Amino acid sequence: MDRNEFIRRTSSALGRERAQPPAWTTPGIEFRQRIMADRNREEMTQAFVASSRAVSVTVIETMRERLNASLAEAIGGIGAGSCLLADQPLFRELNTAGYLRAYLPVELWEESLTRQGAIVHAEKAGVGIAVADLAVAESGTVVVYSRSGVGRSVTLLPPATIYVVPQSVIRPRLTQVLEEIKHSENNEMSSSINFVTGPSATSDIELVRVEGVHGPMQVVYIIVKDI
Amino acid sequence: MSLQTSRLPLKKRIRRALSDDFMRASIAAAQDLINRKRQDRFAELGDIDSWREAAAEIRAHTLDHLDFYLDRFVTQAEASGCRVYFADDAAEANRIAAELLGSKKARKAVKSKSMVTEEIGLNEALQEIGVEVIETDLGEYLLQIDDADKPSHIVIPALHKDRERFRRVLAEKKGYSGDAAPENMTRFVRGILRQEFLTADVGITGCNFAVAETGTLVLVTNEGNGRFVTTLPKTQLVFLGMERLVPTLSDLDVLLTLLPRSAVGSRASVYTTLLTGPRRANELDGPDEIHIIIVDNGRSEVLGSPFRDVLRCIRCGTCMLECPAYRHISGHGYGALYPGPLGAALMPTLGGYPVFKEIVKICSLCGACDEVCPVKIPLHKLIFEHRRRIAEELGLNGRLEDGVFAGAAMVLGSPFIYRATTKAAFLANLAPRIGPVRSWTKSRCLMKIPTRRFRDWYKAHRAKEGS
Repeated sequence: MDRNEFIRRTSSALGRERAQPPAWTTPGIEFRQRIMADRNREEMTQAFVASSRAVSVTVIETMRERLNASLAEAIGGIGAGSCLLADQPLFRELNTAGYLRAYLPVELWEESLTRQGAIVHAEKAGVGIAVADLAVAESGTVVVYSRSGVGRSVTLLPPATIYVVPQSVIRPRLTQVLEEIKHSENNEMSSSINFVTGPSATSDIELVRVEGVHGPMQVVYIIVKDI
Repeated sequence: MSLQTSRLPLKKRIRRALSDDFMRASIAAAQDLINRKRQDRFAELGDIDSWREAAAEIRAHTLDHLDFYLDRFVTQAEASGCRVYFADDAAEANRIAAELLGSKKARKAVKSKSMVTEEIGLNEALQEIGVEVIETDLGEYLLQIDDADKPSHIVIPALHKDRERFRRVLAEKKGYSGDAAPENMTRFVRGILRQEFLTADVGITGCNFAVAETGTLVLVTNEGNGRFVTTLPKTQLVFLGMERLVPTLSDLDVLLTLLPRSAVGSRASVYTTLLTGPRRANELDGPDEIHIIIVDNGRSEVLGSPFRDVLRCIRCGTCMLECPAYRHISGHGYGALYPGPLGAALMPTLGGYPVFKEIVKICSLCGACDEVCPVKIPLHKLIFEHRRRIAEELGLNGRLEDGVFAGAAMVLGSPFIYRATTKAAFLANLAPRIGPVRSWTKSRCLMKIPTRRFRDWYKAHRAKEGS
């Protein structure tokens, strides 16, 4: 069936000849925006910490100058033997790859890799590390955009993920996050925007919660309080 | 699979479901657990009625202007680099998929849980052309390797089976040698499916929501399989039920707030993925191509019928978790792809009354489902309307029922016959308990009819008091 016929048939089911643009304002935006709106930055951060811990995420708070050390500690806590680092400005500025190489093998998700080569790195790594673009206080969710230095595989294939969460990206709830996504970079949506809330989980067998089905089994958030 | 999941007659299906003690206990436990969690989550949201009202308004508005939003979505999805196809029915959707996979010389597809692909029978259609389709949701995978057993719930598909059964199936079919601990079996399946993700030619998904203003596909999952099938294979095939649209990202906020809270009582599902177009030139992973097949399969007809509201459904399964009938017979008792109150309201519209006239009887019209539906579908009213049509307009309930009601009309329509029959009604006490009477008396007592009518006694009583 072709597009015009499909749409025309839908119109006719709705009792008109052709589609008309309707007037529409999304309902209830006021009460959605009001939720948690009265929290200050620190209260919002603590709400994010609490809801993250409620979904089995390990949360560490640090400062920018201590970030590399915090990463090394978190990697030690996970017990990962190698890591895959997203190629992002913050890590470049802090020479994170260089710092971590003193402890363990580090691969970078660089644009110069081949698709297959990059996926093999991700499959072998013990932990994937990326900076979160946004975070949701209400649900303990981090948001990552796929882009050149940040492949989808970085936060998916390794058995553990560490998300670096600048405190300034924490928002009250989805309402603000989706609003920002809508107005992101030249109005062009990233090809894949992932909202992640804790380790991969299932309750498919007798309703028993098991963490680590296909995706990461352990998730760590490192909140950087001065960026 | 297709719309009908069992050819057994209604009573046999129900009897079989009722005799499965394990299944009944696990459905009851799931209902109690998730309903309690849902109430906690709803309480956190403040005025839950405002949320439900907003969600209902968004879905109703979208359906009222579905032609416009479909057109807009297609324009935006194509602009982002997706290819879009339109399928009138299951056969056409399967044909498009088969041609596409054939042209790619695909041998293996990994699929994340999708109800619409179950509805059209995609797995069977692709197997016919030699493409292996692997279910990757843990529950669906365990059912698939257990000789393609049927799901009993749309969100928690394998709730009717115990861990020992899974252990045996994994041991027999996949060489598993561990114990029946859910953690260990899950790890084992993780290892198997990881290899499948890495070697599949095509990733197949459904779509929870499609955003018209941006051409974005939204996948809501917990296990991560939805992310894998949209990360590793080079080709992605998306099946989109034509009613799954939302106008804007702001509207998506409301639905993404209510869906995980309703479905499993969580503030958010572990993964929510927003996909807009295939991977960009500077990205290393993700699909090179995304093909979206928009499926009608009876929906446009429902749209033009008095049952339009059922298309608001966001497939959370809450109505099932609240339903007293579902509690006892599970999804299998309904014999339909979509069970529970949603199934009773939806199946006759998609599959027709001749096949689904009985499913509408699995409902006491208590209305508990209406009270919890996050998009406020008037489920029990729709079910009642189906029953009315089946009885009054189509006369599909059989001669016996027609006869009974014709008899009742005669008795109630004439004072003379009414008096005569009610006076003689006690004679029914002597009737043998056979036929339809027996199926009643097997589990309930039939009241003994007194020899004297109430109104006769009352008349005599008044006369005595007055004197």
